[in-house]
Amino acid sequence: MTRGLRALGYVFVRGVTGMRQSPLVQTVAVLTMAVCILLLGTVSLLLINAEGVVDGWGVDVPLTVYLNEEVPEEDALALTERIAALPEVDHTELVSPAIALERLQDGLGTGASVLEGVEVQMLPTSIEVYTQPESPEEFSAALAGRLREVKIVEEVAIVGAWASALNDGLGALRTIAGTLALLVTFACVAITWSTIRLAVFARRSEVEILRLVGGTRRFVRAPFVIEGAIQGVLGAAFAITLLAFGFHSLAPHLERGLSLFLVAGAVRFFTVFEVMLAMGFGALLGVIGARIAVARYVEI
Amino acid sequence: MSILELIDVRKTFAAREGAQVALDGVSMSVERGEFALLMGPSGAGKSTMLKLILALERPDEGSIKVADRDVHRLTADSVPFLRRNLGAVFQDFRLLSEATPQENVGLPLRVVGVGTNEVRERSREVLLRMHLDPDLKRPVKTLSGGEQQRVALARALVTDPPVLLADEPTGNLDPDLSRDILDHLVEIQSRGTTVMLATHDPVVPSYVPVTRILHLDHGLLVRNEVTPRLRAISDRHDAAAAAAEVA
Repeated sequence: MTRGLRALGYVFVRGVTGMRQSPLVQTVAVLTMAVCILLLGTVSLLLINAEGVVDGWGVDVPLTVYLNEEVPEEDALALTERIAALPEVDHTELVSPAIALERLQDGLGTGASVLEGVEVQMLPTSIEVYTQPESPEEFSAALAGRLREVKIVEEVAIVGAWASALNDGLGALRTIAGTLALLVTFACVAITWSTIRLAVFARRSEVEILRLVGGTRRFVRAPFVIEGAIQGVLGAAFAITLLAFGFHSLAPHLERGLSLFLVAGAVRFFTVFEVMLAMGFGALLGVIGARIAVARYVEI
Repeated sequence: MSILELIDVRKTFAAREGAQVALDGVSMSVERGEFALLMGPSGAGKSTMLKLILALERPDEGSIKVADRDVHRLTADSVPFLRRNLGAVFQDFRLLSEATPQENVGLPLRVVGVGTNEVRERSREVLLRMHLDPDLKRPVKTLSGGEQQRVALARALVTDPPVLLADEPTGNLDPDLSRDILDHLVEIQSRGTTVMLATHDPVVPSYVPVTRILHLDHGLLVRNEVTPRLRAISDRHDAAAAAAEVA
């Protein structure tokens, strides 16, 4: 083990030991950070699920082309490719009756039993058309008009005003989440800064001693930065635990309610990766707050 | 060959009634292996001089050299490396009060990333040299003043620095304990470490075989007296240098 690693190990131990010296301050800091992160986590979870619900409703599909019964597969494929070749179209997806049934079952969630006895053939084959983001608004209507003239097309559904209102709502939620993220960042950094500043004052003599015995800037400051990071991780972990508890208590009720709108399967909690990201975010905020405090209050 | 050198050093502190002069154009040097006594009443500038040598303060003017390196021309990142070569003890001990003697003594070694076993061994060795129990598991705050000062001395010596700066190390101790600490300082100097002891106790020069007496008063160096012992030390160092050259 190199000397640098040994010094790092020692610094880490000092950071943890330092936290134990002021348990009340640390607890208050962690809980306050947890409340902030909980707020952000709640809005993020709402946003993720709202996006899931919107996806489930298919409002992100501008155009859905329902084909006649018993259309040969090659004809359906040919039409799909012709539509996809249009410059205003981003991509298309041919949805077979089997996939449509599967989606319907997912959407009904626990209420999927109502589909028992429903034959796959009862559902139509459809083509989902995704337009380019920059394509003109009137393009979808014009394309729908042209497609209705095609012999194998039964019906064309275009996303209406309600869907764009839903997307506007989603946009507003994204803005709220973004603003909240900024506020939470600022609040968490301020909390850590304040706690670490207090810790530096409380352990002023320790800092003085470490300077005297030849501690480098990094060696003297690192325990406080580690303290900040631990505060952030604990705050995030506590917030996510609370959120998970709340989510799993509410999820069955939500599922039942959403199954009425055929989007029951859309509700989910954070993935492991997202949880790790949240912990990392907490640690980062703690490190930033602590670094600002030590840069200002720990002299070498 | 001088190990400590101050050239025309001036240091002032801002005060409500204007700038307070702590050191006013002080120049002096201390040879390697000396036992220099820095005397003067409280507020004469003794502690300021030691803090300047340790780069804990910056001079307004002049330069301070340790082993020919100008302390205040060092970058902020290099200052810790200077301090690792300067042991320091103070009147108020400056120990981690909740830590054991061994943890305190091992701190300078931890700073440079020495392994746990070596830290334990070297701390034990130097604590025994200071007549302290190396296996004591009590926090240092429960020890007597004399014991705490010996822990501080042990910490200052554990890295075997060429210079030891002592700022009123006996200031908080009764006469018997003070003599004990002074005996340790003499023993440390006899092993080749340069010792600079700041004190306002007039008894110390008669008790300690010093090589130089520096007397500060109101920031001015009013006396720089070399004792006959300095010649003996210089001769010893010259002989050692000659022997090294021949070898």
